[in-house]
Amino acid sequence: MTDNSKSRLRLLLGQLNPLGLPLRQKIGVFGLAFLIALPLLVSLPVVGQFVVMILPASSWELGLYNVAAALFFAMFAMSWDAVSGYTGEISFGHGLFFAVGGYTSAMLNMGHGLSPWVSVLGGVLLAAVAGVMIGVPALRVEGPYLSLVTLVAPLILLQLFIFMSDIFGGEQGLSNPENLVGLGFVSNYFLALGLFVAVFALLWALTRSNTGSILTAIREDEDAVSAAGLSKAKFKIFAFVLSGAIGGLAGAVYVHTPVGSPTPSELMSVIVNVEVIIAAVLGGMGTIVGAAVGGLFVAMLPDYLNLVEFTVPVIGKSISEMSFFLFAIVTLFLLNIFPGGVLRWGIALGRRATGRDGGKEGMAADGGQSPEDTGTNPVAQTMERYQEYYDNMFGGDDE
Amino acid sequence: MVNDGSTSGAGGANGSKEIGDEYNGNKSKLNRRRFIQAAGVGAAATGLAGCLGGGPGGSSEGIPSEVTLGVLAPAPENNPIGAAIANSAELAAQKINNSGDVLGDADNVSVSIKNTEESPSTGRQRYRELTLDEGAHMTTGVFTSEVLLQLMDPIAQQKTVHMTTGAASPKASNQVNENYDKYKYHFRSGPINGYHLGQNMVDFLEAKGDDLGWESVAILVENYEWTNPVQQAIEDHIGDLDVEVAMEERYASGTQNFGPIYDSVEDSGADAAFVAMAHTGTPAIVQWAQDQRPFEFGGIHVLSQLPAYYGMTNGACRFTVTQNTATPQSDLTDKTLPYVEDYNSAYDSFPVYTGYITYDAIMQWANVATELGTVNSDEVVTGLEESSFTGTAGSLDYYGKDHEFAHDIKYNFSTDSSPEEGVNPVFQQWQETDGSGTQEVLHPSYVSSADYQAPPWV
Repeated sequence: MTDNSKSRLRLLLGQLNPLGLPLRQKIGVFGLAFLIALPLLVSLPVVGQFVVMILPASSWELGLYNVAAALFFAMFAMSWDAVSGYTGEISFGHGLFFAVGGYTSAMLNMGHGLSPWVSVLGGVLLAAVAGVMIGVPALRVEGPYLSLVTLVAPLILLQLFIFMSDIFGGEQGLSNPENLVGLGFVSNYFLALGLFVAVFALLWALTRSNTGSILTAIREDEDAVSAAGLSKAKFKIFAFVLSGAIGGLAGAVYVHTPVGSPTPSELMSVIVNVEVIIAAVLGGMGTIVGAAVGGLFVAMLPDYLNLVEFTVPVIGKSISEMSFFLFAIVTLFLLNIFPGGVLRWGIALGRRATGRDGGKEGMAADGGQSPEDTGTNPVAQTMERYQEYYDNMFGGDDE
Repeated sequence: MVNDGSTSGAGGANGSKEIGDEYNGNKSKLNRRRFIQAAGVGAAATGLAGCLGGGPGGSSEGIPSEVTLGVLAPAPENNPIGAAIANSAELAAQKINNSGDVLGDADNVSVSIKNTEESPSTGRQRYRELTLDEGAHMTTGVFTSEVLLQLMDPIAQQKTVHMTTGAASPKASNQVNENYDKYKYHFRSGPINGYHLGQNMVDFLEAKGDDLGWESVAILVENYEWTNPVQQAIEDHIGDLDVEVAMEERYASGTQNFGPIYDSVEDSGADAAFVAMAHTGTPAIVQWAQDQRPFEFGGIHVLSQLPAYYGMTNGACRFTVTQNTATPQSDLTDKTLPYVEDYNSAYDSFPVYTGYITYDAIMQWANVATELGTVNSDEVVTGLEESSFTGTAGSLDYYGKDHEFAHDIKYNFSTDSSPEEGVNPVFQQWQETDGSGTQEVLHPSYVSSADYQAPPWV
């Protein structure tokens, strides 16, 4: 056990040297460096001009805001992935955590005059409590039943917000609370990026630790986890609390920036709940990296489509008018051709290209097992779990 | 530009709100087009331009040769309310371009229309595209209060005049009143705010209740945010009237079956249902007409304000009364009917109330900017505060900064003469002439076109 920990520590330390990293991680580090340098790059002569071209807006100011908003969405997707992507217990209502975090912080700030830096902590705390409230029932109900619970929970919260609209502002939400770092384009961008990196680092390290392996094992075979003498209840609750706290943190900070505000449609609408799942599955479920990349993609694709001024000839509608429709089509298409997620496909492609596809001993992005090893992927595993529940429900075990 | 970029980096990293604001003020007109132009001129010239172009308000002095009007409308392709906003903005720009006097120094006035999708985050995004990317000199539109309230901060940030032409929430004007320097760029050109909508209903009941024979009413209000101030105002003022409130119900949002509610209205013995309905309006009106409920129907019914609603409900809205900003039949000012005719010949339909208001807002802004000889938002704010402009819906005057409804259009109830200041909304009834429905005006008397007709089954 100690040797194991030591070797893991060595592995982790070794991974801090960028030159020794595998290609996929070099790409990741390069992407991160690009994001950090972005505000500087746009201010450079000539280069800046080209950088603005690739931003999801036609001015650098709005570009930075849009990327910041996408970073928050990527955090939402990562928080979903931490619980659903790893344990296979699909949450259809993760917006509950974003809303609890965001609303709590906004109300503590506006109603009780707390500094936003303090109120954000309150939001995180309450979101973690919400994690317990969803996590504990998750021990009794599983699979599709739990999904139903998570689907209904934010609807109940929304009804509460409407019912007590004098406190929660109903469907209109609350007005904007105080911003953490003012209105600056650059400062808010770095706030979002800093939090994104912190959340990513935390979840990445956790899911690559023993805990991550156990959570993955719960998805693959719960009975095996119990048989190994591990308490799956403890780990499931841990996953829900962790995910709730991270989602709440992202939601809380989000409402204290100019890119977000505490409204049901931004934090807990059905569209948000579904988009978060699409982002994580599209990027690569159960990898964290995939959720981060998928989150950025899903959040920015509509912005890019919106920039296209081309008008489709026959129907006479411009691309920007149909941006949401096209977004849905593109994601559906991508989900069909990359069922394991873009990340896994990219890694496999990279390995083939560099002639390293035999190297199965390396650690895969999903924390210890690569799709080739098991012959299936987390989406398929989760589907299998759900199939089992359905079979039991309709007596399919007779077949 | 280059210089500005690095300065902003420092300001942003500092995290100070003031610096962020100031920096934004300097940069608000920096879009890609200008970026490319400036890059061509060279770094030194760019730096100079950056210095010269600064100053609060963000707009260059004078009237630029290209004036851009930013318009935010819900689904302008499908939603009649959004379409009226978009079409009227186009019509106003066309009118300005054709006239030699209004914004005569500008070579071209163009309109950029964005769809808010009735979502606050989309609305905020589109607003920033208009102001940051496209350098709009003013913005207008916005139908949904939810969107407007989330735009108040971005408007304060961009320091660009915004004239709301649909959303009625008084929370926006309260913000202007409480923090004037920050929110002064917001004006509501119409409709009258939510509280005044309720007051207007009571004022109408006071003036016309006897003629209509409504001695007791059942107040039915749908449970949505917009009705909160409306209901508040009704409760504040209806007690002063000699009208009995037989029942009052705030029914659930999304109600589809009005049977039980109408049974209670019947039991209460009310002469009329006195309503505030938007989202739930159609099932309410269709069930009332189909079941021939023995009470009359009136108040604020937003969908009944649409000129095409008679066809949409197959005549079910016949005999119902609703408040409205203006109708194709109401000759409120000498601009009303010419506008309606222009609109009809350009788009082959009649405008919804948001159309009149949007047209008025843009014309008022353009006239104020012309008088001042600048599009600078700070100066235009002062100009609008002092302005009294006759539009299609009445006289556009705004409450001052110390009023609780700061920068909202003034509401002035009058039965027999057009008020000198502010607007006096009309009350219309759907009547049938020659087989087609028309929005006949019952009030005010100086534009009324017909007498009230009670439903024959009552």
